[in-house]
Parts: sequence; C-alpha cells; structure tokens
Amino acid sequence: MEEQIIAMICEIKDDVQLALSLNEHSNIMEDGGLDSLQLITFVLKVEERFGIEIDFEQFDFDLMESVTTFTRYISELQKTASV
Amino acid sequence: MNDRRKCELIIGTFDAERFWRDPNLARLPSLPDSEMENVVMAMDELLFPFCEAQDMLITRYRMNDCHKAYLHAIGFEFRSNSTDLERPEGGSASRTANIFDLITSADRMGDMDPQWLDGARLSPFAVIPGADRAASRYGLEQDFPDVETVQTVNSKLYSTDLNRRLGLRSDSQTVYSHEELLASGLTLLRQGPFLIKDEFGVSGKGNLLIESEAILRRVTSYLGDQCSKGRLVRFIIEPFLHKELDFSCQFHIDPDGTYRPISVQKLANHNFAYQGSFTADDSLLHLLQEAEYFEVMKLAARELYQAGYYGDVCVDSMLLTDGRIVPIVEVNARRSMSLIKHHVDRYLEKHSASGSMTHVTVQFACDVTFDELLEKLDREGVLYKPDRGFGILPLSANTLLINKVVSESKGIRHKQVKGRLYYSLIEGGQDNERLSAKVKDVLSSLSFKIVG
Repeated sequence: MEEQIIAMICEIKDDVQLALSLNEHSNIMEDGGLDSLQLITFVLKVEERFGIEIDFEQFDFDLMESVTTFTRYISELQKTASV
Repeated sequence: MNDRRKCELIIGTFDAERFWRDPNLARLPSLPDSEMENVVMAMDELLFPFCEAQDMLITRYRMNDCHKAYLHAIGFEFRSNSTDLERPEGGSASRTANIFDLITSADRMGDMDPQWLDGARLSPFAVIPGADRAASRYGLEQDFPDVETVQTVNSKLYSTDLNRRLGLRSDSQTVYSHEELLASGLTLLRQGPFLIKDEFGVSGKGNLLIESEAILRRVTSYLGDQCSKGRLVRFIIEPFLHKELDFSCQFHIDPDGTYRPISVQKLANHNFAYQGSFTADDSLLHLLQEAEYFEVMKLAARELYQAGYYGDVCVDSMLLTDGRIVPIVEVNARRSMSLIKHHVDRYLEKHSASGSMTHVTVQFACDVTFDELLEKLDREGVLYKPDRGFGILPLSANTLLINKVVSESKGIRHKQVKGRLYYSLIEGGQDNERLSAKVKDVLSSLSFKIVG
C-alpha cells in the first residue's frame, strides 16, 4: 500500500522523479509538496482506490506525517468499512 | 490642501471572494490549510506598487522594517502603518473579520496620524463588505461601485452569462442540485474529465477536476449531505479544456464608462493555482489582435459598466491547444496579481529594466530573518538594485515569515512551517533560469526547503 500511496503522490505532482526521494518515512505534505488543491485530489483518489470514506471536516493533518502513518489510517478505515 | 486630496489610502484583502460568497451555499470538498490561509492574510503588503509618493498603505500586519527600508532605498515611495492591526496569532476567529472590519471596529488605523486621512481617497484592492463603512468612518473620499454590484459581476455565474450575451462559445452550465450535478456530470464524463467550479472559487481553491464516476458520486453525496442541512447547491460545470496558455487582460473602466486597456500578462498556473505573471510577447498580442480579442474586452467592459461596475478589471483568458481562444474564462472585477506586476513594470521602466513576477513556497524551521535573506541575496549579487540592473526584487516579507511568527507567539520554537516569497525577476542581461536557480540556492543555503 505504501508504494501505491507514493505512486499516487507522484501522479498528482506529475513528477515521476519524486518517487526516488519518497519512502515510508516521508511526510506527505512536506516531502510530497502537496498544496491544498492537490491534497483534496489526493484524498479523493485514495478514497476511490481503497474503497473508504474520509471525513473532510475532521481530518487530522498529523496523519500525513509519514506514508506509514497514513497507510495505517487507511487500513483502519478499510477494517471499519468492512464490519 | 489640494495636494493632500490627491493622496490615496491603499488597502485590501486578497481573499475578497470569501466575503462575496453566500455562506449558505454548499462547498466542494476541501481540506483547509491554515498556514496557507495565514500567508494569504499577509499578502496585502504586495499592494505597495500601487502607491505613489505620499500615499499610505495599510496592512493587516506591519510591513517588515528591513523590507520596507530596501523598497524605499530602491525608489518606492510610500508610507505604511508600523503597528499590527491585529495580532498575527489571532487564529481562526480573526479570519471572519476583513481588513475594513478591523479598522472600523478598532476605530484607528494602526499608528497612523488621523490628520493625514483628511481628504484622502480610499483605494481598495477589491470592494468588499465594509469598504464603504470604513470610508464613511474616516471621512475618506470613495469612488467605487456598491458592494452588491461588485459581488454580482465577480460571480462565475456572471462570467458564464456574459459569454452567452456576447455570443461567445461557452460549454459551461450551472447546476442547482446535487442530483443535477450527478446527471449532467455523468453525461460530461462520457466525453472526458470535467471541472466543477464554485461560484466564488479562487486560484487553487474552489475548482475540482472530476476524472471518474466514483469521485463524482462521492462529491455529489458530500453535497447531498450539506443539502439536507439546508445548504444551497449552485456550481458551474464545464468540460476540461486542454490549454496551451493562460493569460489575462487588465483594463480600467472610468466612472463615465470610458474603457482604458492596461496590459496583457501571460500566466504560469499549475493545477489552477497561480504561479506567476509574464509580459505578453508580440506574437501573443498579434494573435489576439487577429482574433479580435480586444474588441471582446471592450464589449465586456461595456456590459460591466451597464451592470453598474467601474474600476479595475482583470479578465482571465485561455489559448487552447487547438488554437482556439477562450476570451472570457472569468471576470475579476477588482485589482489583481497581474495588475501588481504591471505596476512593478512601470517602476522598472523608469530604470530601463523589465521583469516577471513569481513566487516560491518554502518550508523551514530555522531562525532566519528577512535582513539576513536580503544580505545574502546582495552578497551573491542577485538582489535587484537600479544600478545593478538585474536580480530579484522581493515583493513580500510577511508572507515568508508569518507562520514562524504565529508559531513562536504560541511558544513553539523550531517548528517546521510554510512560507511564500513573492518576487520580481529582473533579467537584465542575465539568463532568467540561472537567476531563478540562484534565488533558490540562496534560500536553500539559509535552510529554507523549496516545496513549490
């Protein structure tokens, strides 16, 4: 899932080279360099790809501190969605 | 006394659309970025190029002393407040107050001498609610249309309607419910991706590119939830057009309706967000002449005047990859970034120079001051000075450092924060890209991480 997340960031940034500098520890906002519009596009695509729904109003930006933290959050949402 | 009457009070807010928008309208999904909101709040310092000698610029946060001293030294003559109108760490509550609310409720304009205001003319970046009240409160001469008119002509619904009235090709349609958005969106998706535009969306916000049915359904369901809470749905949708170039035309409509063209600027946009303005070259101007683009601008000005608007206008336009020109993408009945760039150009012309305007977004945790940045740029030979003839002319300082100030005022030191430096790039005989790279090198050497 981490590779998928990194690939999605690169797709939104339209920068394939970015993948070389991103890893599981990368901060999605800081290292990925997503602006507000790119971020909402990213979140909508994550929802679509992983079949989850993210609460935009309550979204905690700390979840973006690393690719690993964000993927854990997605996994949790997937578990909740499947219950 | 006569001289004093010519003085202008330059003031404004760069998120005018927020104050024109009906709060009862449903919103597209978004994730608020409070640090970038702070940057936008600090952007009013970019208004200094509109000032002439003796004019006064009022900014929400006092301008950086070193920045101001630099601008004065290179020949920009203006005065500005030396106290903050509100504390930078004011937080989200303060965001409901626009700059006119601040000066009206505080009953003072920072530390400025009330005597100076006698007979001065209020010159706002955009006419938003409270501008007229502030003018009355301080006895300022006001010569701008009423806010309701300004609100109407700045709506994207007006731009869509204007295209129809002028007989221009327009593929935009307005949807008034989430069900209608879903039905029309599914039809559009059969042809390709499409855009949903908020009536008062601005650069980088309020536009959503829809590329799949799943995302369309998610957005309509999000809007449906707001609808059930009493919000109104009203969006413009249009096919996503493949463009070669974004550009804008600035003109002024005098109070008697006279149309005065000002400039055409090429725009660098990325994912709908403004990146910079560059002077239109002869080949673009020739293309526009051939396509009778300026005739359309004249007609647009006439329509705006008939709707009750006069003042500055910036019309966003596009050149598509198939060669078609879309003259009216959006009417901005206010001043604009491109108009600021034009005013910087006027200053540069006096020094036989020309430039473009751009910005760089950074992240940093270091304790660097603006003075250190100016010194380093100067030491590296890239700080613009008239006798140097090239370099970068920093147009903002607070936008770079505001989040550091906010963070430290909350007692948090060395927190990674965002900032943005707006600047003019003055080529002289130098290569533009090399100059740009040098600026980024200087920022990196001071521990700023370039993120956009």
